[in-house]
Amino acid sequence: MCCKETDSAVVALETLFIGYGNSLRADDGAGPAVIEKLSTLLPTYCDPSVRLISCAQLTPELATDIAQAHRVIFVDATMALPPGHMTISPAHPEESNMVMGHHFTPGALLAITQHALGACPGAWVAAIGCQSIEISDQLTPTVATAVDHLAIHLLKCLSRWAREPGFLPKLLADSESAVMINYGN
Amino acid sequence: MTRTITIDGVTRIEGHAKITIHLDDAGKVRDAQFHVTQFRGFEKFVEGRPLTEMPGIMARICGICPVSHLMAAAKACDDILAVQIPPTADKLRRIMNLAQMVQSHALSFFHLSSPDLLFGMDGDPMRRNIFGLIREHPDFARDGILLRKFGQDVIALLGGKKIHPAWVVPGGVNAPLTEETRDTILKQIPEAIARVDRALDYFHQVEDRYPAEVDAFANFPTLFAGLVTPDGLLEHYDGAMKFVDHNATPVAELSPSNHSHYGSLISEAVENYSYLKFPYFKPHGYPAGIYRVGPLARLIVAERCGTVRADMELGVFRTRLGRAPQSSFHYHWARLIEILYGIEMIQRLLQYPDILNTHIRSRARPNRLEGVGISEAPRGTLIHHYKIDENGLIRWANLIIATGHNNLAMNLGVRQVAERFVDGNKLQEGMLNRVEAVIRCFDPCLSCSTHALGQMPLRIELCASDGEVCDVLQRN
Repeated sequence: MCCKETDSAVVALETLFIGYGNSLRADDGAGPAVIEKLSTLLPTYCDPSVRLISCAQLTPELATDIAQAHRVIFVDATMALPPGHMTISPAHPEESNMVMGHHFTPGALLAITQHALGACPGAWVAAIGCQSIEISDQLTPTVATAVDHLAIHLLKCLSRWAREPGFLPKLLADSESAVMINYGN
Repeated sequence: MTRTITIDGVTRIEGHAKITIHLDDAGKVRDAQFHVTQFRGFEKFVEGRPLTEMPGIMARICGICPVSHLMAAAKACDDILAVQIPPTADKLRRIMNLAQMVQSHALSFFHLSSPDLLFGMDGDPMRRNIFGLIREHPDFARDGILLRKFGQDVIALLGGKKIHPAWVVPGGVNAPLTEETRDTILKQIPEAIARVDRALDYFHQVEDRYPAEVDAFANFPTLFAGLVTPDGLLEHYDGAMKFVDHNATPVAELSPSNHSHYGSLISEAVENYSYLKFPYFKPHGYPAGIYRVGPLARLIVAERCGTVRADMELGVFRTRLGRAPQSSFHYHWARLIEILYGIEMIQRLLQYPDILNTHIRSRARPNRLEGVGISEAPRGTLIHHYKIDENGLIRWANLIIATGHNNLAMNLGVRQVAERFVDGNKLQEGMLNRVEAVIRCFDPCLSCSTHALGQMPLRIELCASDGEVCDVLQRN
């Protein structure tokens, strides 16, 4: 776990980032890579109410972390987008009897958080399109670029939330056009 | 007309498997098999890697029980280095191994198996899942989440992260325990114990509802195997590997100094319908050498647990079920007792005066060309065996995984349940759920070496011998 946290009794947790995926399967590790990037960038923002979690998969005990947050952003890799393309879309509690093993979807985890712990933070899934999920501990260049851009975009979102707590993030971009987004608006 | 029912894949287990049930002309079960359909290649592709990399590589076998592989790999490396690790390192490794057991057992019991126990084997599948559990038993579900969190947090506090921590190294561990971390863990112990107590209360309310399942869930005499302390107590990290018969009478024992001779007691058979090998007790031959490992086996092999609360619950367990209950249904109760034991033992280990000692690693170069590490994973005894060359590179590896030990018993159990509950002329979901549920008792972990975990729809086809599908049940 990669955490930048303080005593939760002193400072309420506002924003939780959970990056998940297998860092030994090339671009499947994009989620943890975004968290790693955020961890190098966050100190300049010095925001004690932000927490970063990097993990291989979503597991039920993460509900306890989610329950403490005002908002949560899941960061994942996907084969459903072209390589390097990024989206941020809302996530909602979603009950599914597909939960049959040791891991969960963001929607299922939110539903567990809601029902078991009585909390339902605002939630989004930030996704990056994969180029390769073969065995490798390196991201492909296209996805590595997207990881950097998404991390910066999420930092801009944090900045925006500080001014406008109700801000609803959204993103639909590829790794080239992401740099053209005007984050100030 | 011979017909076959296929359950592909089996749900609420870890990994990819399917079950086939073969029916005779009258629709009665003729045979049943549990197939593990994923392939593990770790023994081959570690060849040529440096010995020092083994704990790190082997932990990657599995995202569910990486700590178990870390322990067995590190112990095999210790054996090759011919070092005795510092006492503090021994205690710290034990704490992490127990934390792994607590979190794994919590997930198995609360999230994978309790929907069957609380809603019934024939309950509506739309309700008989974790969301139904949370809706109707929110306190119980919350305790499961928080018990797993306790175990995961201990692993993360010691190793720096929950999954694949690199903290356990050949010769010991690579960072000492801080006073702050020790106190953080100790502070959580009372609440964790209270959560297990509540779970046991829940379990005792429902256990009597399942006499037919107790009677038919892999309920047959076998040997049992597990590690024990020199005093015969429950052990998960080191100790003698002991085999007992169905009456708990000792059959064979390998002292820690003789772990390398495990091949004199265990051999592995191969069947053409599964990638999972079939270990058996060699002196009894195959398949007569069937044995079981894991929580139930450990409680049968051990004289007692060695911690106060767990021993009290074990007393209730043995009063109700006898010294050596044969039904695998009792794995559930055994799992809860082991969670209790694990938390108590973590507390005890943390209270040793030398637990903050900074001498935590013994350093040496390889002094042997071969080493064996045996420890207890949540699901049972785990064996790592390596041979190296004079440059310290792995030349050969053999792993006997906990789930493998139970393979013969799982197959026989599937057949027993199918014979009892499945009527090929009137296929019902509850029948087939029982066939899966007997596998869940063993909590098999089949995901080793894969990164895609078992989230699959269940589709059951009833086929005629000519391949024609006669009936289909599907769970989305």
